[in-house]
Amino acid sequence: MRPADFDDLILMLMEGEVEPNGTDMIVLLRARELAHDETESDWSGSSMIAEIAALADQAFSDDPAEIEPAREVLFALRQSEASDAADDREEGIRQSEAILRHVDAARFPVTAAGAHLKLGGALPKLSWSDEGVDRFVLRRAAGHLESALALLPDEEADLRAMARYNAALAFRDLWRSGDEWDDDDDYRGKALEYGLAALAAMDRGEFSGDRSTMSRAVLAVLMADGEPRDSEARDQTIAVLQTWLASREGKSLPRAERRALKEARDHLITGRDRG
Amino acid sequence: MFRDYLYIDRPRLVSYAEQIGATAAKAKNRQWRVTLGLTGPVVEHQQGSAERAANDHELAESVTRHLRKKGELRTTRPASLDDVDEGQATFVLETMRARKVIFTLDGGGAPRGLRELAVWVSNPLENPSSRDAASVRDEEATGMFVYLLEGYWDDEPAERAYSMMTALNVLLRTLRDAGAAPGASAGSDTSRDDYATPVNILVRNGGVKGDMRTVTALYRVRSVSENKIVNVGGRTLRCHDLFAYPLYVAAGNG
Repeated sequence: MRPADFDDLILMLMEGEVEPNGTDMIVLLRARELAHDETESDWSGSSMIAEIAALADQAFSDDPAEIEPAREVLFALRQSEASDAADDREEGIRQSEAILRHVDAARFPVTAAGAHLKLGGALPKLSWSDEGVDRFVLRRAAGHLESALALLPDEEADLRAMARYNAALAFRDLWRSGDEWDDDDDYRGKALEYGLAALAAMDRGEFSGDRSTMSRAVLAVLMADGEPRDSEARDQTIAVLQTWLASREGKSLPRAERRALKEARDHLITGRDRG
Repeated sequence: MFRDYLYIDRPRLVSYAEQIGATAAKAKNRQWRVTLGLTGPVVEHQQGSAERAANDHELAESVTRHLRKKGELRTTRPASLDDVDEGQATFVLETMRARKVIFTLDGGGAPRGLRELAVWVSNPLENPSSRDAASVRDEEATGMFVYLLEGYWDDEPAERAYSMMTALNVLLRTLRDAGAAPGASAGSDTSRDDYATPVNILVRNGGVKGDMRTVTALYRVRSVSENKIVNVGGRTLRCHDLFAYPLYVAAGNG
């Protein structure tokens, strides 16, 4: 099915020939309201839903210049959702790219950010092969995640945290796959910045990523040059170790690893207290 | 081809040139005279030569020529401790990619008249991944960092950085003596357990990082070690490092 088949899709949905997914439901409801000249529904509960409803307004409007891009975006959104259900990563990437080709990011920032977020999450998995890491693909992923962060409003705290979580891992992988003696792109610095922010979002309960994965990533960056020498890096290391050890994931670590982490924390605290 | 000098240690070049009798250059001196002879005007030409003090470029060229003639000039970067004769002057002429790190002097112990010191840092010639291709273990010293300190010379002979020291330690000590780096107690010093890159360590000690560029330098080795361990993408690799005084640094492949 192609985006030009938007009308056919709506028809098939209305006749029950296709099982509607979330995007279809919002579009159908909004189309029905528009047909009956109803405006009493409140679409403002979620930015994403509000934007899909506004896209549906455009898709069923009388302005030909607005209809086509809105239908392209809506169709790609529903196909993207379907690709999630089918666990088809490559189709998800294609549809997210289609969204970004047609969406007006200034008017629909959460829709655009969602596509960037999806690309940022899916591309790194395609960057690994037997021949090593495709850094070009990893850089694309990291760029999409930073674009998502630039678009997402503050109230989308969970999506912002997810973007930071994935960005930390993408930049960590860029840093680790580098083959230069010193790195002007500062992938390591960005991995640390996003990783600490993702851990802070977990501490605030805004996001439920894997704390052990993120703690390991951040500690690898913090301790890459040996024991942290400046007080800021040492305090950051202590804080990451503390929160990890106190977390559910930290408590279920293998005993030897947990003991090693405790010893490292205590050693750093002793050093800090000695000044 | 012209050579663009970025730095010349003229006093040192003059000192070496004096030892090989190359401080003067000959300047051609032509004289033309017209006189009247029995058969008409006669043009007379006299050519002589006079000595003048050699300029910087001539000093650099004669010292290089002498070192080359005597077989005392390496034209490739030393690869290990064995390539540097302890207690002897080892001279190297090398084109390299290097990054300048600048230190501002704040008076006190600063050498007279100097407002800043600069260190050129050049990474090992081969990328880290070349170790895998050559089956070199991470803990095996391979690859040489080079640090060239402009504008300051402590007149110590070439030495190996003993024990756990690196050539970077010797460089930092020299910078401290020159009033360019903070004292060791400030926590900015380095050790064998410090896996940061040399550029980052110099920045931590007050240097300002510049861009990477291609330079050609004639330098004399001051210190060399096999103990510089650096972290590259989470992997710790043992390397050699070398601290040297440049006699000149020129832009490009000069």
